[in-house]
Amino acid sequence: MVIKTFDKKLLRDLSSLKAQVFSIALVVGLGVAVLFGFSTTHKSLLKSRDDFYKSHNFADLFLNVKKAPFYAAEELQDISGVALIETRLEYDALLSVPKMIEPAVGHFVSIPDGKQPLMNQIFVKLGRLPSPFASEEVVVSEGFFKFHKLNLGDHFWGTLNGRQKKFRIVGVGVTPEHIIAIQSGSPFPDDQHFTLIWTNQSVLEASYDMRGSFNSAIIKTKAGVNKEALIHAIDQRLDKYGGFGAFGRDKQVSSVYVSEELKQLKVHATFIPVIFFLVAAFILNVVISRMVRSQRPQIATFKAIGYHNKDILSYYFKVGSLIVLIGALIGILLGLWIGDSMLKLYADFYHFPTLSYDFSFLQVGLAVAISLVTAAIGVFSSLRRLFRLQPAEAMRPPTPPIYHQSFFEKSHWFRLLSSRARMMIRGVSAFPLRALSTGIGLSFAVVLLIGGLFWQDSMKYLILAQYSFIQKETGSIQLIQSIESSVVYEVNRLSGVIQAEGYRLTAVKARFRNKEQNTVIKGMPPNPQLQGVINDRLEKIHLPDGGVYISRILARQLAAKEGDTIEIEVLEGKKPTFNLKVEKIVDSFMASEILTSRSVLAQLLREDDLVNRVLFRSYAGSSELYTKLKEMPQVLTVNFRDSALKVFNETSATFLLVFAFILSLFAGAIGFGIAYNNMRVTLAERDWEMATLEILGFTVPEVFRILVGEIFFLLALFIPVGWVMGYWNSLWLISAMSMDNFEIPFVINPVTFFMASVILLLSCLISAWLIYGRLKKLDLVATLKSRG
Amino acid sequence: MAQPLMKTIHVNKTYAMGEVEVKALIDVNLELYESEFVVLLGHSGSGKSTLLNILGGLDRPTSGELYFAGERIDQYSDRELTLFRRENIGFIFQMYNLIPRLSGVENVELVTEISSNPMDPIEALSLVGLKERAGHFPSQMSGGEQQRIAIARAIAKQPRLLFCDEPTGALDVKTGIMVLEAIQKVNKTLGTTTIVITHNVAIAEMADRVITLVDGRVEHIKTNQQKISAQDLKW
Repeated sequence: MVIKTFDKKLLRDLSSLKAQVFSIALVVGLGVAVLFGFSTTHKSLLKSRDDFYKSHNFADLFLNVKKAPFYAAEELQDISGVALIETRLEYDALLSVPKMIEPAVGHFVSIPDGKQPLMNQIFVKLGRLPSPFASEEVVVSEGFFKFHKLNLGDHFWGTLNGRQKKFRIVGVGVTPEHIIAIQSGSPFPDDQHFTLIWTNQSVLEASYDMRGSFNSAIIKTKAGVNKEALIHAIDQRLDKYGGFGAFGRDKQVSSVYVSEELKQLKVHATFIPVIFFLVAAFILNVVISRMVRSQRPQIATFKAIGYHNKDILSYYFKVGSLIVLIGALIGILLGLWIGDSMLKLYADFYHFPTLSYDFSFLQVGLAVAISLVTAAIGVFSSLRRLFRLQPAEAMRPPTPPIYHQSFFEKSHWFRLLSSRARMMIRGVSAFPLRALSTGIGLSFAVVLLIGGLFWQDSMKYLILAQYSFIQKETGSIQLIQSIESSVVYEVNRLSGVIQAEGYRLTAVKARFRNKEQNTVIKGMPPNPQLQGVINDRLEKIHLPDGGVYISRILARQLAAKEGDTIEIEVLEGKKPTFNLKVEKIVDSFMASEILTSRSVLAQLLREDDLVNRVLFRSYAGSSELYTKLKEMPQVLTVNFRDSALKVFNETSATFLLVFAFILSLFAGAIGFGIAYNNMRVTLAERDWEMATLEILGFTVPEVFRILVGEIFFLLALFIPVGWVMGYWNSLWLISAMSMDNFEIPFVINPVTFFMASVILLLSCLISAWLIYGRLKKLDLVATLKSRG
Repeated sequence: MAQPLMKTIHVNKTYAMGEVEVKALIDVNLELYESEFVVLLGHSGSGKSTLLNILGGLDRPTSGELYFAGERIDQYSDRELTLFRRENIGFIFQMYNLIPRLSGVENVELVTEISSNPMDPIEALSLVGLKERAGHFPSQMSGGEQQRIAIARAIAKQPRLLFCDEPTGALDVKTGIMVLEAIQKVNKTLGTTTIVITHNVAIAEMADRVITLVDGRVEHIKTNQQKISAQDLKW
């Protein structure tokens, strides 16, 4: 059978195209690597999460209340839709840990004495649960335990309800509720200063005088229940006990963090591979087209002796498939490594009981199938034209392209160009479709690069705005309750403190039209220095006299604009409700909040000028200050701005750097693949022309400039297209990955456009350098003879 | 006797074809003089193309010496050979070798842009009678016209030597004669030393000297007492 004989040529054909096979396989491989790596990571993370949620019975609803009797919980149990309710006690407290100068914060959560709770059960990674009625024993979260190199049996002190109490660590654990240990109101986890602490119910009951009462409950709902209606019913019942509003998993911090991560993985697993597969299909098309053109008489012969188009198609499909299968193999291996490495990074951040890398053969099959589809698209589009030809016509050499003057050639500037420049431009304009697809391929590389690099600009801006213009304090002290503002002077007098300011914060529900959002009103001191209020140009804004400002995040959550009137329901005290006009929307990237002056808030709440948070600026390493703070009875918790910033820098910045680096490499591979194949095909098709130029007296570098001129001409045309596409793509990326409680500003610095262009140019230069080697070896006489 | 413009001394060229060695040129000694019209005659495989490649700086001899204007050039580097071709050599090929993407005049400009002493491209085209077709692309021209453009391109740099490799090989008699007329005109008007290689014996009649190659050796060199003009040729 002839096709089988033809088949024997397959390996020879491939080996003569080694470098091209490699460059296409690389592009396919990278697409598969990202698709496979990210989707398997996504699946592994999803599975670990879902398994943990299921095995440790993660609750569906969460609620906090000031103080409610147990029978209130029984009432809630009667609401239809509630399957199970469990009450508990939850408190933040200041911790004093040996060898740690500054205070830490512990979030205490009660468990039934010596037992696992019904929901949000603890996975004990190390040690055990507290024994029944043991008053000192606690389980702490893993991050804090590891950060301070603690051991089971170590002690620390907590200030519970104003009294110091000693605790002993008997276990290290995690619950589905705190896969990421993050303090309420804080944007990032801070393992140095924050830990979850699970202790016996009896300990917290005694410390906070809460026998027979609860301040927190978790609920499992029945399947198919309308959660919004259920939350509304619960809130109504708890109103009289000082309920702060129930919320679902969609507002539960740890759950939101994990979901957002999963969402981002999915976006990346889609957006990046699509670019790679499109580019791979295109390069494959260029290379197979070239092969088909050079083997045109053979194909015609096969057609003439009676072979079908499908037989010929199948041959070239085999060529294409072999190339992409090599790519798929590289991609799957690389994807396994990417997935495994990413999961290791996640394991430091998300404390799942088990986080094991997992992939299915279905995913392998999917990666291979998508690669084969890529091959099919690439191959079929190159053969289409040939199939339309009659065998006799196909046996003749293809008609050379007919050149004529394009419309722009009549212009004055074109006449000023050298004949070499004209050659180059006509080389591009004679094959507009090929030029267009090459150009778009190149601009995809720019899109990918900008999509990877701009995050750094956005994050840098965010850090600059947040930590140089908005949060200017060293730390903040949360007071046990709202007290006279004179406490600010007390803090100001502490040694090491440079400046202190008092704020009054209160939890509220904000409503606008059909939207409702739990948030806080922040009453600010007159002329605040430590908390900046800025607009999107980082300009300072003065506080309103009567109305309120809202943060951009809240504006998004409520879909409210400047000038709208929003309804505010205070969730403490007499729970007053009032309407306020939104004077301005201000930039605050990490908080959903309403800003006003302390005096306005005091009027609204009908109370004296009280404060419950003190921001301070202090000298670095003021150990005396830290000791004093730990001793102050009014202090509930202390937070340090810079440690949050450090964590942010270490986690997000590392992720972003790695991400940007990988994307740069990948985009470089795209640029390389496109440029190399384009120049290789050009050289193969015009070697005779190049040889003629050399014979006419052009030096190799001069001929080389003409050869590579086309691709660099396309680069000059399409890099700006890539900038525009990259800008819009990045804008889409940022909105696709937007988080509910966190705003990443969209910033692209000009240097990012420049860097993206430089990386692409470099990759094209590398491929040009390889082509230069080939051109140097061009045998002039043999090349001319081959044509004669 | 005037100094020769080009001279070969004991030039040999051997190609390795797999395990077999092919001697393409054997002990070739010849001289080419300023302004003369030489026809290099030989059958297919006689070595005439190999000789042209060596004389034109496209290839190097395996042994022997090659002089141009008194300077030895057979040991030139690739770059030096390129510059030698750029300044001194014009080529005309059987298949014209025009750049399809450039119009007639642009093909000529391609060479004038890199030469140190070029003539005006339009003037070069006028010499071959194609001034009116200057803006046409090769695909819009007949074979004869394309070859005349190739002649204009070859002479526009005012080379010292013009090598024509089977310039009429792809043309019919009438067109071939037109092309030879153009070559002869260039030789006469500009005084460019012209070497035409061909297997067509008839063309030899228009030469000052005829060098015949057989199996890689110069068999004889004949000086024509009376040369005839291209339009009187018949084959």
